[in-house]
Amino acid sequence: MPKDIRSWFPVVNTKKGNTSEEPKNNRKRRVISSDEDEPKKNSPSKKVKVNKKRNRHHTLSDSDEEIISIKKPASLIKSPNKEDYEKKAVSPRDIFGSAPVKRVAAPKIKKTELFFKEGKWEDDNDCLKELDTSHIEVEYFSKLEKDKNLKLVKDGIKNEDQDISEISSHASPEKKETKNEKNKNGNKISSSDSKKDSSAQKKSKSSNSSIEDINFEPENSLKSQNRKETQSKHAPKRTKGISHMEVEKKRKKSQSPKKDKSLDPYEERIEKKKQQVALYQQYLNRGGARNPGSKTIPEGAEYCLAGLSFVITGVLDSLERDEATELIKKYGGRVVQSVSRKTDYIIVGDEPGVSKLDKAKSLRVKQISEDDLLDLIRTRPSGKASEVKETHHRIRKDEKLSSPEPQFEKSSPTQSHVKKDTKEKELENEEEPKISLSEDSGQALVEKYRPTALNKIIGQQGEKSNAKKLLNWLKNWHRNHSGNVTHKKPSPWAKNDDGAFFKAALLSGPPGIGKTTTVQVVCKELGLDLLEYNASDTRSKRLLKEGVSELLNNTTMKGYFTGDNKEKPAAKHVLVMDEVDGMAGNEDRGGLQELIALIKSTEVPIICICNDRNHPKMRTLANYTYDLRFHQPNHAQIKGAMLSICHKENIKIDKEELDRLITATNRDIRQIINHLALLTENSQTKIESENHKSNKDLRLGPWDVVRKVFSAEEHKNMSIHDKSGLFFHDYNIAALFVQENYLSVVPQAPKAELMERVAKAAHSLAMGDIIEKNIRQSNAWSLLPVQACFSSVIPGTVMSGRITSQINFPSWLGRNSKSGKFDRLRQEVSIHTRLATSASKDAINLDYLTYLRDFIIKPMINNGIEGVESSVKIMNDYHLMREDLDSILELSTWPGQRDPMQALDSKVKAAFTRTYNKSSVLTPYSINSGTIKKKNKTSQDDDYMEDENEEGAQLSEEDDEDNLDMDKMIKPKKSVASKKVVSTTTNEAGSSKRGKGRGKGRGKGK
Amino acid sequence: MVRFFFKLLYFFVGVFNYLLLLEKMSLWVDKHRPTSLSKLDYHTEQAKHLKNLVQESDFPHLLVYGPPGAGKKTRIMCIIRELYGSGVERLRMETMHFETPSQKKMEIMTINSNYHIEVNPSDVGINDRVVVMDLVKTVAQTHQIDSTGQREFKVVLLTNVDQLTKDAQHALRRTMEKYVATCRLILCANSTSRVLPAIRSRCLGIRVPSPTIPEITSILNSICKREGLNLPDKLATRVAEASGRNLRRAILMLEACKVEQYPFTPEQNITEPDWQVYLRETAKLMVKEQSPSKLLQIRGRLYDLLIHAIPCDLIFKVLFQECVKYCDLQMKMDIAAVAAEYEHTMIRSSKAIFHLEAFVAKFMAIYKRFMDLSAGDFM
Repeated sequence: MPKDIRSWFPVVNTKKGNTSEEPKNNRKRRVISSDEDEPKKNSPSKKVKVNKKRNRHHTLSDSDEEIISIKKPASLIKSPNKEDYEKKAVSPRDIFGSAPVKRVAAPKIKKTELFFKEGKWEDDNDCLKELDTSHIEVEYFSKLEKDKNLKLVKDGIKNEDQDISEISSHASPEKKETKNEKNKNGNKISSSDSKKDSSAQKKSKSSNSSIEDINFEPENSLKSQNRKETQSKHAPKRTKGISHMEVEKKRKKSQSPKKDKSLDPYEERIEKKKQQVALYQQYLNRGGARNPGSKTIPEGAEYCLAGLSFVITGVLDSLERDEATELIKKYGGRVVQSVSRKTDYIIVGDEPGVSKLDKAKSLRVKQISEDDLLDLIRTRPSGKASEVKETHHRIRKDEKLSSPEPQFEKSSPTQSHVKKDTKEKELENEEEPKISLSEDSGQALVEKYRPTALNKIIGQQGEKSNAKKLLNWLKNWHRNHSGNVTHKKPSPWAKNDDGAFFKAALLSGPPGIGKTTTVQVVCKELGLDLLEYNASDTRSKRLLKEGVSELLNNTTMKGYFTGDNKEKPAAKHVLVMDEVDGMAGNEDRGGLQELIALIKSTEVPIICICNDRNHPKMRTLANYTYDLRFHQPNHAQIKGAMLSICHKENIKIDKEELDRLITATNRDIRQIINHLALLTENSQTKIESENHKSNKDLRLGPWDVVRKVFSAEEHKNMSIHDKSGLFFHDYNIAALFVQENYLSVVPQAPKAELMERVAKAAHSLAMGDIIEKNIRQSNAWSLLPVQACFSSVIPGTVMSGRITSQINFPSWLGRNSKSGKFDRLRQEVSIHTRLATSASKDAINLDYLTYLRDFIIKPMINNGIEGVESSVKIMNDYHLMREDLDSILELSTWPGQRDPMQALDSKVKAAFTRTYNKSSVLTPYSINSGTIKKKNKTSQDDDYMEDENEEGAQLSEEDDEDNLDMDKMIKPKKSVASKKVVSTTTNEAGSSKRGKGRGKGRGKGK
Repeated sequence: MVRFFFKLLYFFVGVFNYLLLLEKMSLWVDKHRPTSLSKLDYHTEQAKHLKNLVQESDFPHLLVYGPPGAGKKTRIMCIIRELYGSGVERLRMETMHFETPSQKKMEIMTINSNYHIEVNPSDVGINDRVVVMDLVKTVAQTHQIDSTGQREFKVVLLTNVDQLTKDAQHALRRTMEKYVATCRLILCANSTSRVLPAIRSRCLGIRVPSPTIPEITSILNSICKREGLNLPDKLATRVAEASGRNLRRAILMLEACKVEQYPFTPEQNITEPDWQVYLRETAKLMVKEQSPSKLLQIRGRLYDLLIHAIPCDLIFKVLFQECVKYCDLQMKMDIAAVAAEYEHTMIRSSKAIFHLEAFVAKFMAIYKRFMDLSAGDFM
């Protein structure tokens, strides 16, 4: 901080050359130096000595110094931020204010302005705000100093004053008076409040006459001594007596217009801002009802408040705001947010809103208390239901007042008063738009109506709602995980689990129903700081490990300033991992695992949000988290909320349209509001078409599609486009569904024509199939509508009627995969028999299969065990394996046929298998599947090697011995095989074998 | 030790080579297959021509086509044997590995001798182009190992050429011209209709028609003589007729008859292939009743036929032949037109069942209308 300020010096010094500004610069330096070096320059005695005017300045500068002294540590911490502020753009208004003071050293002013802005942004930070206003004062004082010392400059300032007054009020000096009065009013109200901000008080004082200033001197000094205490949020309660005194003084002030006129408008502005800030601060800090439930709520006549509209301001004594609203609504009244001509009553509670009261006064709206309201309910006769008006929540504020409603007047002010009030109102609109109006301008509807309170979230109001559960879970988190209590992991089916076991919560549900909002609101309500990571952030393992865990050990700026340092630093954090199901890809590699690790060791609650809880990626995470499943709120709930938004936004939408919108968006609230936002922009006609379209977005399953395709009822009001639209719900499978089910339709046609129609439909489907092949083959996707016509529209129209039986899933898919399997089997068989048959796959299939099966099976059926030998011979001749026989059986068996193997005696079957295994010869193809086969193969392999190994004929015997020793398993096979080799050599086949060997040798030689 | 070495060798090669013993097969159809051109039983004139052709030093690409069971493959093997002598009878199977452009690993079984290689590229479905490009090219590019051999070229035998995709056939075109010096292609197809004209023009087409019924009977008789059996002429004729002039089927049927019952009797039962029975029953259903529910039932049967990979054109053919038996002339024409139309559309599309079903539906519609009309007339 000090460095920062020093950096300003050169700038000031260059300006020093300007003679006219020298005194001012000096003054400034003093301020700065006091800022730096003598922060405790607290001198009440000094103030007494100096003359009136000076005195006033000193009181202010005094307080200023005080503040600076406080500011110092804060600013030390904040120093990096400060540079940011300096970079920030200056708002037009600020430039406006400073424009005439060009001769004044620019940087200083700029700086204060920037500070001021800072205050605006961080309006919940008391400390900073106070600092800001004090800086403005400093600036102001530098000007006054200048005033005193240099006539020239004074003139300039006068000009400036005029400028400002002209700009800010656009009216005669009389308006200044009214403005002042308004200030007074504000002060009065605030003084009636139990919690009074001291700075606002002081301001009003300082702006008043010297006598009063002197009178207030002691109090002022006292205040300045107590300043440190007042910096904290909890301003000490002032006795009502003091505030009354003040109010009276102010009244006096207002009676002396001369002095008011001499008042600096600049100061006035500062004052006003401070006041607003203070009020807003109060608004933020104000609590609930003082004595909830202390009063009995009377039973009134039905609709006794019908036709009346109420505005509630301030905190009521026994009723919460919502309760009061409910109560009024129950009796047919309506509650509006802002005061207007149509408002009948304004219910004033503790700490009422200044602007509302002002407006109410100006409109002569009757002010009543909570008790009066209850009396009203008790006493008023029942009204008619028809009088009940829809609740209009927001009426444009800037509507011009023409004739104030005279109905319920508490007081009867004079005409001039009314005039003043209207002017006041105008001024108010000019001066303080940011509190009430600025919120809703230029914001997306979705953001604008994002719920800010727990009970405003649609579908989460209930006691058992997820929001409540989350609230409780968060509330108890630190207690549950302090280490004192150990929780058992609840069973996944436990209904009323409070999630005490879990260190993290997993919020899941479809988009647009307020998961993130719930988290935000809940955290706000508990005063927790959100640390959010969403899909837009990289959430890789490394980042999570380093970034997040480091952050969690830090404390926040806010915590530091508000002095909550007593608490554990991490106690106020919540880590929110939004869109965890989006943690994927290279960016977030290992993120989920790290997140789980983080959850296991976390010191703060972690909230994860995802859409699809059942996603495989979420499965692991779900084990470590408190499962909170969000469901879409029901139709009525959404509709109510949407209607209220429509009214607020002046959107005209039919109830049916809204219904359709809600169904079409599948109850996605965000989506609905987005649609509504669209409607605000467009004309009525566009709305119709738009809504019509949004209707179509409903996605049908193929079953529903088929039903619609063939339903004569549906066809009555469907164009050809609608019909072909059905096809596009899922164009991949629609044709198959239609083909599968068109025969179960009973068309509305004469019986004689039935087959004709079926034939037509079948023909059309065949055409559609041709087109589909073309689409897929040559990527001619533009043909899709044509296919839609052939595959869906024409069959649907021709067969239009009703579906009698159940709609089936296309059997084509299953059959197709089965034919694929059969094809593989066939392929295998044909490859195995290739050498023996020379037949192609088809020929094998058509000609061989049946006979081959019969040749293998029949001998066994007819001759029993004697037939086995010939069967095995055929198997071996055709190089068939045991598995191939099964394939052949499967392939050659047709529906309605008996499995020929069943006719076989189990003894014969066993004998067959045994014989086959014994006689297994080498296959000419490589076998590469199955362990059993592999065993076979090894023995065959050896066989083969022996066959190959011409010169090693002698070796073979040794080899055999070797094998017998090594593999006991293949001993029997081996012996048989070797026997066979021996036998073949002796027999006629032996010659051919030798021939083979010779052939090979020859091949080699050549 | 030696065993271990061989095992290792086996794993490295990954391909199991086996020199087939020229053993007599146990089934007649393979046992009595003629092995040289001079031994062929029918189309002897053509055989003589082929012999002349082969004995000439130059030898064009051949496209051998004809219906199944007419002896195309037998004839081709005879030609190759004529070219290279008995060496071609030592066959071995090899698995060749390919990689498609999309990095998919394919393997295909080939049957090799020292002089020729036999491949059925359609085994790998739509990836046959890669096979044609890689395998045929590599084989064609290498010269004959056996330089002192009779011929300077190798023979590549491609079977089921009509099942090749258009892409593969196009890939074949250039190969055929480029490597004509080192290799000859013998293409084997059922029909030339699906072979590209460009390919057809590069080959000498050899049509192998189905043997006539007398030819088949004489072959059956000669087989029985060699087996030492006594075959009544009547039975031989019946078998020949039942086989649909498919010699392979005829011989298999005859052997099945022998397994069933020997000594033969002229009127004994002839076992037909199951699918034929099934198909015929389906056709009967079509004629029996015309309604959507029946169509639904027939659809199920058609699915079964398709699962068992009965060629769709065969299904069309049999259905048509069976149904037409019940129709008068005008209807026959109508139905023939319809069958032709749907067979055509079927080839142009992907899901055969749609077209088979459309044909059945259309037949039902026509037949029902005819029946209704005739019933009306009758009344």
